[in-house]
Formats: sequence, C-alpha cells, structure tokens
Amino acid sequence: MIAKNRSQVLEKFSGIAGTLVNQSVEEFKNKGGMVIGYFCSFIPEEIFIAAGLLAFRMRGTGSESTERADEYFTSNNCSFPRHCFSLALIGKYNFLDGLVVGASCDTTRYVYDNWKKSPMKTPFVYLLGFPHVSGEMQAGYYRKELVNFKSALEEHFNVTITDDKLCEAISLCNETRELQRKIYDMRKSDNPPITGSEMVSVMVAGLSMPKEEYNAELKQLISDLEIIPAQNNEYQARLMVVGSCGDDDIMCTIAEEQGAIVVTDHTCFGGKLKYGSVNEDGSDPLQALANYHVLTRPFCAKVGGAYPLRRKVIIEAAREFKVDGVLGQRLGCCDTWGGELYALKDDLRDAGLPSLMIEREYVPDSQGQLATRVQAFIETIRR
Amino acid sequence: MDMTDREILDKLNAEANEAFKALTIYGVNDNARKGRPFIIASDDALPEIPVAMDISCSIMTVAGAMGTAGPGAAERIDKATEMGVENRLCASVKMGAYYLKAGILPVPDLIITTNSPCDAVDMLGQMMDNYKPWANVPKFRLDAPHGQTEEDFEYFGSQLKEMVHVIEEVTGRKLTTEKFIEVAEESNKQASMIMDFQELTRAAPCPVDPDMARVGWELARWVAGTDPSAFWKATDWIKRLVDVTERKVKDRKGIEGVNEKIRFLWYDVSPSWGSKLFPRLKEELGAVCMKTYYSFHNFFPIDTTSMDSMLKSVAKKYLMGTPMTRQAMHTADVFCDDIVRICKDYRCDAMIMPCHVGHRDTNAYHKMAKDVCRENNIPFLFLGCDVWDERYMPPDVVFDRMKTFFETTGL
Amino acid sequence: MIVGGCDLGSTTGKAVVIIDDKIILGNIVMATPKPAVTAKMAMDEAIQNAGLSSVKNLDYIISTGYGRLKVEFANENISEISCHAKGAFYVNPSVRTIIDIGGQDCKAISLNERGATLGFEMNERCAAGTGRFFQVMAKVLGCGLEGIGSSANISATPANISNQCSVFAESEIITLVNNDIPMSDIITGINRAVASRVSSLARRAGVADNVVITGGCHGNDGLVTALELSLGVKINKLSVDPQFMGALGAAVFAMEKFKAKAGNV
Repeated sequence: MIAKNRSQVLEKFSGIAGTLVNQSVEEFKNKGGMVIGYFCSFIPEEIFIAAGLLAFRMRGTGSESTERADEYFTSNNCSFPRHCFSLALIGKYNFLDGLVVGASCDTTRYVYDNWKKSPMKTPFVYLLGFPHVSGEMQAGYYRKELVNFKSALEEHFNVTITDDKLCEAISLCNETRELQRKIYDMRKSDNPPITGSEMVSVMVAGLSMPKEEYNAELKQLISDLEIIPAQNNEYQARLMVVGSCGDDDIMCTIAEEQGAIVVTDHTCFGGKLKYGSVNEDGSDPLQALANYHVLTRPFCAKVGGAYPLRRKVIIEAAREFKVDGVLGQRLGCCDTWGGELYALKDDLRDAGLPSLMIEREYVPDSQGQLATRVQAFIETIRR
Repeated sequence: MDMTDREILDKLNAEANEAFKALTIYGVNDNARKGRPFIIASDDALPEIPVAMDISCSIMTVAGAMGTAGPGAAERIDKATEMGVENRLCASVKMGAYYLKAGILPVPDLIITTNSPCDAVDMLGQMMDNYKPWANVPKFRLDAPHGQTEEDFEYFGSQLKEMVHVIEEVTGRKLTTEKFIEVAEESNKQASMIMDFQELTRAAPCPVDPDMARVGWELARWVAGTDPSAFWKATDWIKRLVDVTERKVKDRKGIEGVNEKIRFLWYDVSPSWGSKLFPRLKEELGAVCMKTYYSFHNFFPIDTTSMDSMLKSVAKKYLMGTPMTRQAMHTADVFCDDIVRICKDYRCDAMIMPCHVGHRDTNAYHKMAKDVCRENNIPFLFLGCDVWDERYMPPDVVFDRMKTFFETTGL
Repeated sequence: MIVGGCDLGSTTGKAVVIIDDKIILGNIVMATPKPAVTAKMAMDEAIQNAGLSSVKNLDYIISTGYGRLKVEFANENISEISCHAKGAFYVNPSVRTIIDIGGQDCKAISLNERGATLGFEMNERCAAGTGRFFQVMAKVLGCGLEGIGSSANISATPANISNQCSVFAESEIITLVNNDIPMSDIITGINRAVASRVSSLARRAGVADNVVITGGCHGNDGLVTALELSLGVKINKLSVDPQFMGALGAAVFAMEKFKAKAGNV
C-alpha cells in the first residue's frame, strides 16, 4: 500500500509488480525487442542484456487457480511453478519470445519438459544446468553451461554476444545491486523510509523491465526517499522475511497490517539479489558470472555445503537491521525449504532471534489463518 | 539330493533377506563396528570405490526406506512426520531425518552427500552436513549434473577423483589402479549377468519373478558397499539366479503357482508394502510385475583402461544406470522412452504409474508419461500412492483399482 | 473497572465480562454468517448475565478469534493464541501447555512460567483432530456427541481407525458397525485417532506439565483419557469453563490495557 505524497517511482513499481505485462515491456516489444522469461535467480540476466534481450523473471502474479496446470502437475508439486504454468496455459505469457529454465528444484526443472509439450508456442525453450555445490570445479562447470547457453542464444536470436557487451551488462547489473543495497541500507534506520511491502514492489519491478530504465528509476527513488519524510516509526516489531520465491508481498502486508514492519529479507525475488557484485576486470566475463553465482552468492537452498554461508548472511542481516524476529515462509511441498527452515529455526534461536516458520500455498487458502499466526508471533516479540 | 527350482529360488531369497539386514538402522550401527573406515552417504551407489578400498559405506535413504516397513512402521513414520520438516516429504527421507534427530546413528569417519536423485535426498544430505553432533566429521559433497553428455560424465568423474583423494586422506586407505580394475571387472561381470537375467525374463511365461533383478542389484551395490566380502558373494548369487532362470526358460516353466495372463510395468520404486500386493496380483489375477525402477537395468560397463577412464565410466553408470537417478535427474524423455522400450521388450500389457507422493519429478511429468502411453497404445493407470506409507492408499485399494483397470481395458 | 472480551469462533461466539476481579460468562451463541452480528449477540448475553444494560458500560473491550476484525464495539483485537494463553494462565498460573480443540480447528500453545507464549502450532486444514470429526462420527453412530464423550464408552480394546481423513473414516466406521464391533470399541478408537492427531500437533509446540484442554471438546472424557495415554501426562481441569478461555483471555488483556491507559500499574 502506498501512502499519499509518496514517490511516484514507488507507484510505478507497484503497478509493474502487480501485473505481468507492464508498459515498459510493451514499449520494448513495440520497438522490436524480444523478451525472455526465466526461472530462477542464479541465471545471469547479464547474458540476456548483452544479447539485446529483455530478461523477465517468471512470476505467478495474477494467477488465481492452478486448475489448468494440474493436468500436467499434481497437488504434490509446489504451487509457484504451477501458477506460472497456469498463467502460460491461459495465454498470459504469450508475450515471451523465449523461456529459460534453470536446473533448480525438481518441479521447476520439469516446467521445461511440460512447456515444450504444451500448446504454448514459445520459440526458444532452454534448460540451463546449475551446480548444487559451491566450489571451483563447479564454477568451471557453470561457465561451460553458460558458454553453451550463450551459443544457443546467439544462434536462435541471430545475435553476437561479445565480451565487451557482457562486461557492459555486468557493470549495469552491478550498479543495480549497488542501488538496491543503498535503499535496503536506509531501512536500517528506526524510521525506515519504505515498508517491506513497498520494497517487494521495488525488487520485483527490477526483474520485469529494462535495466537502464530501472536503474534511473532507482536513483530517483533514492532521491525521493531522502527527501520525503518517512512515516514508519510506529511499529510493534521489526521483522525479516526469509524463504522461497517472494514475488508477492503477502507476508509483508500481513505482518505490516498487524503493526510490524518488515525491514529486510532473504528471498529469491528480494534481498538475495543485491548481494555482492560480479568481478568487472573483464578478463573472462562468463567465468566472472559463474563465480558470482556459484562462489559469491550460492544462495539457492539446493546448494549443498553453502548453508553455513546462507545462515551467516541471514543472521548478520538480522543484526544489522535490528530485527526483532524472523518470518520464515515456504510453499507447501517444498522439500528444499522444508529442510532449510528446519535448520534455520534452531540456528536463529541459538542466535537469540525468535522466528515463526510458515507453510503456505502460493495463493494462500486463507489469509486470515496466516494473519492469526503472524499476529500471535508479533504479540510474543513486540517491543 | 538336487534342489528343485523353487527351493533354489527360496534359498536365494532367504540369503538376500539375511544380507539386507545390513541396510537397516541396526545394520548401519553394525557396519560401523566392523573395524573398517566407515562412511555414511546420503544416496547410493558407487560400491566399486569402497569395495576396492576395503571401506564400509552405509546409505541413509536406504536405512530410512527399510524403516518404513515391518512392525511399528506406521508409528515410526508418524514420529518422523512430527519433526515438521514437510508433511508430504517422502517417508523414506523423513525416516532418515528422524534417525538423525533421534541420535541413534554411529558417528562416521566421513560423510558423502549429493543432490541426487531428488530434492528430498538433497535436503537429507544437507541435514547430514549440518547435523551438529557430526560437526567435526569431514564431509564431501558431489554435484550430480542433470545432463547426459560426455562432458557431464567427465564432470562427475572429476568429482569422484576428488572424492577418492578425500577418502584416502581421511581413512589412510589407498585406491590402487590394480585393485580398482579387479573390482570393476567383477562389477561388469555382475552387471552383465543381471542383463542376462533380464533377457531371460522376456520369455512368456515369465520364468522367475523379475523382481529378483532388484534383489541381485541391491546385493551387488548396496549390501556390497557395506561389506566388501558381500560384493564377491553377490556374483555367485547372481550366477545361481541366472542358472535357475535359464533352466526354467528351457523347460518353458513360468513362476510357480502363477497362471500368467497379464504383464505390467510398475514404473516407480517397488513399494515397501509390496508383499501385500504383488503376490495377490500374481495369484488372483495372473498379473506379473515385469519391472520396477530397481529391477530395470541398463548396461554401462566400466572402462578399465585407466584410473581416469574407470572414474568417468563409473560416473556415467551412476548418472544413467542407477535407478531413481536415471528417472529423476534427467529430462522426462528418459522416463518416457524407457516406458515404451520396457513395454516392448518385456511384452508388458499395461503401464501402472504409482506416482509416489514424495516424487516431485514424476508428479511433474505424469501427463507426458500418459501421453506417450496413449501414442503407443499402452493402457495406462495413474495411482498416486505412497510407496512407503501403506495407509495413504492401502494395498487392498491399489489391488481393486488395478483389477478394475485390467478388466475395463480388456486384459 | 468493567472490561469485556469477545471470542468469535467459526462455530460459536462467546463473551466474558470482568467487573473488578469478578468473572461473568455470557451464554454461548451459535455463529451466524455475519461475525458482527454474532459478536453483538454474544456480548449481549454476557452483559445481561453481568446485570449491565449496555456495551457502553464497559471501559475496554478486546475481540479475538476468527471474526475478531469485524467486532465494531471492540477497542482492539488480539490473536486467539495469545488470548487462550492469557485466559488459561490467569485461571491457573501453573499451566504450561494448552490444547484447544475447537469446532473446525485445533491448536497447541506452550507457555513459560510467566505465561508468555513459547511456541504454538495450529491446524485448520483438516477436519481430523477437530470437533467436526466428532460430529461426523456421532451422526454415523447415532449416539450424539454425549455418547462419544461419555466415560462409560471407554474401552480397553479400541477399534483401529486407520483413515486420517474424516470423509474416508466415515466409511470405515460404517464397516465396523456392520461387522458388529462393540460401540464402545469404536468410540474409543475414534477418540484415540483424534488424540493421535492432536498429540502430534502438541508435541511440535512442546508439551510440559501442567497440560489443560480448552475448547468445545474439553468435556469429552474419552478424548481426555486418550490424550493422557498418548502424551503420557495428566490433563488438568480449569476452574472456569474451558470453552471461555479465549474470551476470558481477551477480557484479561482488556483489563491490563485499560489499567495501563488509565495510568494504573
């Protein structure tokens, strides 16, 4: 919810995050541009940008039912990819000129197979391997995957992705991360200038529009937030949201309606994305990208051996942002996050951080039930 | 006095059941006390390396699966569910997690985990890595790629090389090329004989329960990993199985007590409550299960030219030849092509898709399987059962569904 | 000081008035489709029992439960978790575990020695483990809820109800009846099945002595016995009607908040 007299950028981002196709995407396409959808956060947008394509992170925004997708999947599959697939089956993703599925979780991986056999006529559908261990050998493996992927893009879209273009794209995306970090840092204050719900819009919008435009808007937003007085100094608790997906602001909205404020997060559409930067020395941009995703930011919960780093990052963020409690959320049937939150709960407790771990469906059965749990949690930790 | 075929097969089963005790939670504890370096792995199945290094290796998911069967299984599964990791997590993995939490596992010398074959086992592996009582135990994690190219096999083979170095450092044992060749050649012999057995079961009537391929494979892979002497014994076991099967084919004999009318493919893990279903299907309906995941094998010989070639071909064997890994780690066309091939080669009249509730993969591509069956005129039945927890869809209910299905499809 | 608490559940509405330290319970009303209407009906009952004339006589009112956001006369709303904890602890400060089995949900709350919530678990997805399960079974058996709850029907040889889903369990019960299984065996089996589900939930929240049951199922002796067996603890009784713990807790919160606002500590 955007209060009056807030930044127009926030309003714009809210609109973009709240719909699938937005004006920026339409304008891009009208000028002859091509749009590539992709799952998940470890796929480097830089490669799409270097190819002159618009990278569009797949979301389930606006989906109400998985009825159509459930011909292909079952209720034993996570609801997020099912909702995305449902949207595609009813034509909402017809604007895509390509789809790249990363080898993340089992259900998402098979979106690739199902998409190819479905009535969707997406011309380019690609499965990109990703290592589930964080190590030098694995970074080398990912580089090889990116080399093959780059070639496939070049061939299909009849473009040449040069190292120079990759370096420019890396620089652009590093700027994005830096600008996002700046906004996150503002939330460390006792009167954060932006709510958690608003921040979700900021991050999701960044995954749905051209980067140059987005970075310009971010700069404007930072300027606005520095000037417009913040109105968020009356809250019962400061929270951090941790978990899978996060392309919606449901958890933030519920928490903030109950009197808390979400000041930071570690989610796949949010806080994880701003972490660190890709090496810009230009010697081997694909290796730099591989190193970033495999070594610097192995935040996919399927990356074994990297849990200690993820835990450290979460706990450090909780301290820096003076968090009173952590809201963990995962979608039903997510075995990966089931294990991650199971481990985190104990580790957060040992670090003196209370947490509430919630399982929900992508479109929750009942927000009232979620609200009750969150409200009870806030009541136990409030300042 | 010469044993009858039935007696031979009963003896083989009895020997196997005795050997399988090594795979249970009690077996895991026994293995740790055998005086060898002791590894706990999240998943299988690379026994050539521990056998060649004289090391004992137990598998968490297998111990978990064994825990979902037998007296008290329902209560154990419920206790495991109470942990609250994810209610619909595969029960074999839940059980493995429960054993971890209950603190009844011995402390291993080394932990080896992998993302394969599925999210659930990946997660179990991470739980093992993060398990605080094992904080000081060295760990090694393998990354199994989803591809099927030579580059993927080389990538995995390189990791196996690293893994061997770690095992050598931790245990003080050495993997010599000579010993590895000896074990690899024996492994190839075992695999070849299992292929012979499979070939023989193509006969109609089917001479011996095809599930014996699973038994032989598990003896040669899982049990062998816990005790190198079991590896060498497995060769003799498989040979005796092939011999009796050959005889029965020559004599055109079918499975005792079974008037074979229907042959079907159960393309998933063989359920832990299978003894309440498959015999009844055989006896009452003459329906023989020709293949399950663990009784379906392809031949991936280990190339003994050099250490590197052995590691690469072991990698390929693991990625493409290990049941579950084969079906769950790659694109769905592997599964779908297998259905068509198995039904053709083993003259299956129908495809049963158990679609185990914990398998996110098969739940995600069941439509593709159904479509490929339709295209190839293979009658297809979707179940949606739980291969570990019989309460989810009791064996009687499964029997009735299959019976109705066979009747309505005119089988 | 006169305060009130109103608990709007999915099947009933309850209200409590506290006049100084005296607790007055209202009569339970059945939930209507409009929570605002149910709230008024429930509060009117409590006001009447308290000898008051109007809700305006109350200094502070807190609402809780499923319909808590729709109570127009409430000053604020608090979750039913916190209110159940507050109410049970107010009545018995040695309470450490509360198991609430309502019409359509069940929850378990774990408290510390100061009455603060340590953890909680809820189930609102599945009828098994709720009053709804009993209603379905009572209908099938034709014995009424009193029959399901009667201690006379506790048997040492309970039937095994394997179906976790109340829909499928209904068929299972019919089969047992047709097979002439004694009624008390079936009823005990039903109570054991519910206790098993509820115990599982309770253990996730953390079970510590002393344990109490709140909600509509508290009077089911068979269930209480089965829970004691399953959890291995004695379940204690509350001195105030356990169905009112949510409303009482809300009223106690109202008392505390009013005192704090009025400057009384």
